[in-house]
Amino acid sequence: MVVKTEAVVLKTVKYGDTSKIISVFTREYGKLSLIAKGARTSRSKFVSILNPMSCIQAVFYLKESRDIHLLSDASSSRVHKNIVGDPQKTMTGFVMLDALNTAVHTRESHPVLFDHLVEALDGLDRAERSPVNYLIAFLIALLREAGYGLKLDACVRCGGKLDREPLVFESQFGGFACGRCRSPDTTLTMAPNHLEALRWLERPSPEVWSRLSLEPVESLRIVHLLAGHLCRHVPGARRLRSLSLLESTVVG
Amino acid sequence: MLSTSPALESLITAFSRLPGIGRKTAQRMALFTLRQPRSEVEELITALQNVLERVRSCSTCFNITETDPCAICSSSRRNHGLVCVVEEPNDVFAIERTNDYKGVYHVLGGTLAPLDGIGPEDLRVRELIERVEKGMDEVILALNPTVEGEATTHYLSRLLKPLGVRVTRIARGIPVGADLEFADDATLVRALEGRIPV
Ligand SMILES: [Zn+2]
Ligand SMILES: [Zn+2]
Repeated sequence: MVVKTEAVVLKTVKYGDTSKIISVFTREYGKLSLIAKGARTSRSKFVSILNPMSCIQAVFYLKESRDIHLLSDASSSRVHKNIVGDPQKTMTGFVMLDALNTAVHTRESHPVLFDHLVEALDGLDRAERSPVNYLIAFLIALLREAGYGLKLDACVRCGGKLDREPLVFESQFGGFACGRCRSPDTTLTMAPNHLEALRWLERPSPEVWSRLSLEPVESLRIVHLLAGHLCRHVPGARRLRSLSLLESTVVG
Repeated sequence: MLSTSPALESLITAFSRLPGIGRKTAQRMALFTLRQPRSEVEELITALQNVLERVRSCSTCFNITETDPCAICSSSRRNHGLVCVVEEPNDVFAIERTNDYKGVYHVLGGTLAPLDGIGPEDLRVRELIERVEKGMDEVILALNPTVEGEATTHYLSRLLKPLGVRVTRIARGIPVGADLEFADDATLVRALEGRIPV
């Protein structure tokens, strides 16, 4: 059957002399692979829109028996012209795609998560500073949608206020433990401003995300915390290999 | 039917590993091979064997070659202070076809591919830095204008600039997402001429 849906391109692989196989996350049908015939020649109308992070309106033949479906038409659904060309934004976007790619399974539809991804990419495109904030916000949403949302309001062990340092992130309980009841062998101590940052970026309002100003090293620490949590809990999720590239781009 | 011959089966498996060849096409190719005169099949075997034994990558530029260093790296008519960084040997063929470029090459072996876990250590980045440190006037970054290619261009320029070398990139005459290998010659010449500092 011919279907039409919004999609974000996750990755592309060369196929044959002129074609591309693209892995996309679609709003209606989840993650799947499409073959775009002739997409690598400069004459193809697909040539400049089928790249990682591209948001497209895709028309394709969905065949239940196939792993790869034939793309018949594609057009840009949103233009993000400020991401490619800005190395930090590009790498930040790649980590978003990496996280999504590892957390969702093929043909698992998740429109809410799709909207979060598009929202994060929109924000990343517009961001004038702190691009990594959009990644943190996306990872928080991704964890929540995967059923492993963070608990940020109280100590995960005693339920008390998180006001005594040092705070410890206890991944097995999905949140922070206060200074009174942290187990002695934990090493992942976090500063109160990490918790504040997470609370700020958990808010469902992208327009406030960029107002949070974090040192690059601090924001990467939070990204690592979230990526570790993702890897530990979400079934099938693996380590985000894109993180080291983001790190070298952000802190040099 | 086919499974009655393990030898044929293994040929089909081998063919199906070729890029763009599916199982059905591989079967057709295998059956076609079977119907060929013995001499032609032997020619194919010899060609494959020669490739296996003689072709290697140049230890300087990593282009494919039968002699090491390759003909380009050992040519005195080439400008050895000018190096053009490309993704794959195919890109060297494409630029050489223009007869317009007189420098040498460095084949990176791909681009950074964050989702596939391909980082700088998987490419010939360290080797490029070493070549530049030995003395180069200019490095032209001629990677495919894809998102990954752009990211790699930025990454390399950040590494190279502190070494005091002039770093340029080819102009974007080629649409984003296209392959260098399939650009027409005129476009390629313009792209090389129109390179800009990064
Ligand atoms: Zn407590
Ligand atoms: Zn060479």
